Amino acid sequence: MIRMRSLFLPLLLLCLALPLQAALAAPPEGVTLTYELGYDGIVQQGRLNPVSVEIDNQNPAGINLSGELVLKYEGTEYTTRLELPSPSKKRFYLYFPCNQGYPQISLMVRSDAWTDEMDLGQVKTCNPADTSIIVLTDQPGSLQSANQVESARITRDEWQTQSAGMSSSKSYVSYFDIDEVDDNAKFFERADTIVLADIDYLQLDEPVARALMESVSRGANLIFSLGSNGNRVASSPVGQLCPLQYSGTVETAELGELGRRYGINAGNALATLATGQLRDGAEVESWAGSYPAIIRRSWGAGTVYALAFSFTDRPFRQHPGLGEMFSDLTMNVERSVDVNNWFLHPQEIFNLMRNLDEAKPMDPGFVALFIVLYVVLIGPLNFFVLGRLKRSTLVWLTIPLIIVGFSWFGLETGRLTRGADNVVANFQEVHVYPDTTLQPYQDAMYIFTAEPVRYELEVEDPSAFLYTDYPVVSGGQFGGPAMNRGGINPFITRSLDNSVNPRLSISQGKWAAKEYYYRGFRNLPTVVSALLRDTDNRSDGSFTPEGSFELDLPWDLHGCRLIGRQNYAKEIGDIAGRGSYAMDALNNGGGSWFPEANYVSRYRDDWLDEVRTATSEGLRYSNDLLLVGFTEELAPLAEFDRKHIQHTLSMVVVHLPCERQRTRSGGLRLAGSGPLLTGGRNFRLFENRYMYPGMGGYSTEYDNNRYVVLTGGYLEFRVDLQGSLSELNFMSATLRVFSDDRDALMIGDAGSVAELEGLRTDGSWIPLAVQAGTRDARLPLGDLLLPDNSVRLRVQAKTDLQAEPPEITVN
Amino acid sequence: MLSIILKEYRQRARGIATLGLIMTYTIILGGVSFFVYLARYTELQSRASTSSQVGLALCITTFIAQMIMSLLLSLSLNASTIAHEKDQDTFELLNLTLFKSFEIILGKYLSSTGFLFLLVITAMPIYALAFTFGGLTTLQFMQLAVVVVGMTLMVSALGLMLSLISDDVRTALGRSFFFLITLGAVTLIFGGIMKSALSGQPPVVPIYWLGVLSFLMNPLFSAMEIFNPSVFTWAGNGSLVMPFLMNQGLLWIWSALFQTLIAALILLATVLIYPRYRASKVGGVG
Repeated sequence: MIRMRSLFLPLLLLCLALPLQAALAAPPEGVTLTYELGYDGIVQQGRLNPVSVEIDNQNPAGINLSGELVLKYEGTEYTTRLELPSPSKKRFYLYFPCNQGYPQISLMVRSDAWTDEMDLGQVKTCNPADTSIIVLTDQPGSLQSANQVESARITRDEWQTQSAGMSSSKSYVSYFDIDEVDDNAKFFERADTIVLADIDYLQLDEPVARALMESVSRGANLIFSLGSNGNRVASSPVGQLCPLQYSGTVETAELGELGRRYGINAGNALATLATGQLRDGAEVESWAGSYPAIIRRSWGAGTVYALAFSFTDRPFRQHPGLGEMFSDLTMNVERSVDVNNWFLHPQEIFNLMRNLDEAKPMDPGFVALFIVLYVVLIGPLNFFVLGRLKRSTLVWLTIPLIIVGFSWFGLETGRLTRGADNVVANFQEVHVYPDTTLQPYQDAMYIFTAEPVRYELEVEDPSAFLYTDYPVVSGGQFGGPAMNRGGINPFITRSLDNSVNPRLSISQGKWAAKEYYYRGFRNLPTVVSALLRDTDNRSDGSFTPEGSFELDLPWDLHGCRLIGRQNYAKEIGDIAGRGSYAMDALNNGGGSWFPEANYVSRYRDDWLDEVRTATSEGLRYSNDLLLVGFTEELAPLAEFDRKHIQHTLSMVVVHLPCERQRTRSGGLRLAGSGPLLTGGRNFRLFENRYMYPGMGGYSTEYDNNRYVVLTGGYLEFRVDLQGSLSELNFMSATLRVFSDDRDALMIGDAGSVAELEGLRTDGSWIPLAVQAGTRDARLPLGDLLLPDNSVRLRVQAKTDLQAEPPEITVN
Repeated sequence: MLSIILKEYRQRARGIATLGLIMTYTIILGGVSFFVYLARYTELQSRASTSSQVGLALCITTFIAQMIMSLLLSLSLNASTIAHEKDQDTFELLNLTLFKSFEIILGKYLSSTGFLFLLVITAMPIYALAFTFGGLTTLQFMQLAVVVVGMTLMVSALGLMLSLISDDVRTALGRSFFFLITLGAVTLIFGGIMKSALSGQPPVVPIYWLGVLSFLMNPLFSAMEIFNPSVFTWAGNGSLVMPFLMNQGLLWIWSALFQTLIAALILLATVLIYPRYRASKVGGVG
């Protein structure tokens, strides 16, 4: 009876708990949840994607929601605190790095009153090379012609490739109200271009402005659509970014070079253009008659454009030419090669950081010796010695003693090689740009623990995103296997709050190492300016920077190296954080270096080589000179709260703009190694299909030097020249086109399938006649040579064709 | 009983078989872990694996090798312990002594199991080596040790019982291995069904309980949970009332306790049936 009674109570409680649990799965009365995944429901691979969740709590009983909101992806739970009194409504933002074409994502609510999990179903994704254009507007659809534009793009998939390369890309335009966006730069991390159209600038507060500035300093393009909005832009918190200091408007029917370039005719409508002074460093990209129409200015790694007109007003409203215009502005190839990330690949950083002595592998010879010694001692030697002493029964004592002794010896071996100290290593990479005090940084952290420990890691930076694994896009462009990834824990579900200061609670074993990777923005008082010219006066087109630069940095830099295009490198030793430096007065040599005890600093040459690899293609286009130096003074933002030995090294990369100045004397000749592909439309990389014997199928490979251009599409090239024009028409272009994808035969008469065009100084494209029966055309250089001593050419496809960049020859 | 144990240990200490057994055992364990390390060493050098991953791999392979050898040795040592007396015609002499049935059974059991435990702990230095790579916690190591102990106790008791009811060593060994292989296969099948059911539809009740029994009987499942605590988490649709032993990371201790209980029951049964075999042998009645 007593037993029956003792069982009854738990059973009753169980019965009561079951319906209670069922009730928790449904939202409380009056509570609704809506969410939006990525930008307009599309998630981009290889980027950080936002998920905005809006919860409206109108519960009549006044139930408050208290708990957490969780986004689960690939075994990681991205969480944010959920506190929602009744009645109230709030939008929450969660972020996740997508590395799959078909991600499985679920959203969970865990609160006292409501626990539920929603599978977000099939998610639409786009490729890493695609472009994301965000339009902040209250008129969705205003930039429809810029959506789904296929382009040639030189870009860097930061997780997949080490340097920039050519990719096919498609544009995705998304529209947001200003009150729909997060005031954290993580929301914009995926955006290549942010367009500020007809928004209520009063709603654009300081935090959103800061988030926009951080995004631009990281490499995004920010486009102001002025027209009659100019006054409101000027008085907004982002007004200081605008390259045009607004003073008024003019109305004009003459769209000049801008109209011709994008086929926009004002017709009967008058265009309203904002006018004013250009800010320092700003330059006019396109003219509408005598008025600047598109003005650009660099800001950090990114670019800010001011459109003097509002693209939502006539005659621009819904014009098809806007597609091409915004595509050009987004690609921005000629200036920045669209590399919005100059960071080293984190895989390469961790490869070096794993060289921590305490975490190094043991020599197999030692392992073998240990085992052999143990076997010999516990077996033959033990029995033989005791047998000789006629004390065989003592084996039951000696065997446990040997076991304990060798176990101790084994553990002590670990203690000798791995030590008894926790070790934390940090490698920070900070990029410093002129014009801005916001510095994008990445931090690779390697934590080695000598004893099992549970700890909390917090990154003291709300702009930072802590990755559980740095993303590697699986089944990448070249079909190769995914690289080895760093990771916090491969087995146990990880819970990570990245909403404000990234925070993680985790345990780590004895002599175990974990890798952490986070990114964000610092705001340090840095001033950088440069008066550098690339005189480029050699016939081989090599990089020869001259002039001077000034620095005002909070730290001195050690072991500095200058890095530029064409493999330019110069060791300049130590540099004081504050000073003016003339290029010809800089020292030669490696300078002073840090003590060997800091193991991260042992790899100076490796870090510098990685910078060269990561930036090689970007430097080819941007012409920046990079000053790379090292310091130990920059404190890490994430603290390991246990006693530990710290190894910290920061690599500061200062971007010094260098003006390209080609000599105008002497005969005209080619500069550099050939034409630079700068853009295109309706383009894809040429796809080869190879069959690997034994692999049971085809594997796709791409030819980076050959393109498929669809009918009506084109590829655009720039040829840099040196010297002055003394003769006319002595240069020719050879156009290589192929018949189709299958036989890849070269066409003898290129003129029948493609047209070669050249950009005239007035902004219009003129056809260049391809000689009948050949693939050659003569270049009328008198018309084509632009003020910057370059010639722009494009191959326009009359039918689907394959092409290679034009081959330019000097006769 | 103590004199039986002492006699057994004295005999083992002088026998060359003990040396051979210890050497074979340590060579196999050491060899397996060395070759696993050698195979992973290039990955370590090329940084494709981390030190803790290698430590974990070393530990898992050592454990598997140890478990297989412990199983075989537990069976063979115990299955031959009484049957060997029968083969040597010393069983009758043993029965003529004043020892009671439970003293003989427990004496035999403790001496062989003690020797087995000694063999089990000879693997400690190899585990210590895995420790130096990281990735393995002390708790995991202790959990593995408990699993091995539980399994050794159960299989030893089973071997002893089969040794008693068999007429000679060959029959005892044959029966023991047949029983062990059958038990291993059945528990693997039902445990596997249960494991796969955890990510889909809830299993039907008989399959469910057979699966739970298999989880308790087969130490592989405990080891799986030790290395991956979420392996037996219910991930299907709807709710499933999980047994107390799963989804809590406690399968290892429940499994060891269950196996110890089974061992005790088998020993009890052996003690109870022993007089029948004692009488039949002494009396010469088959």
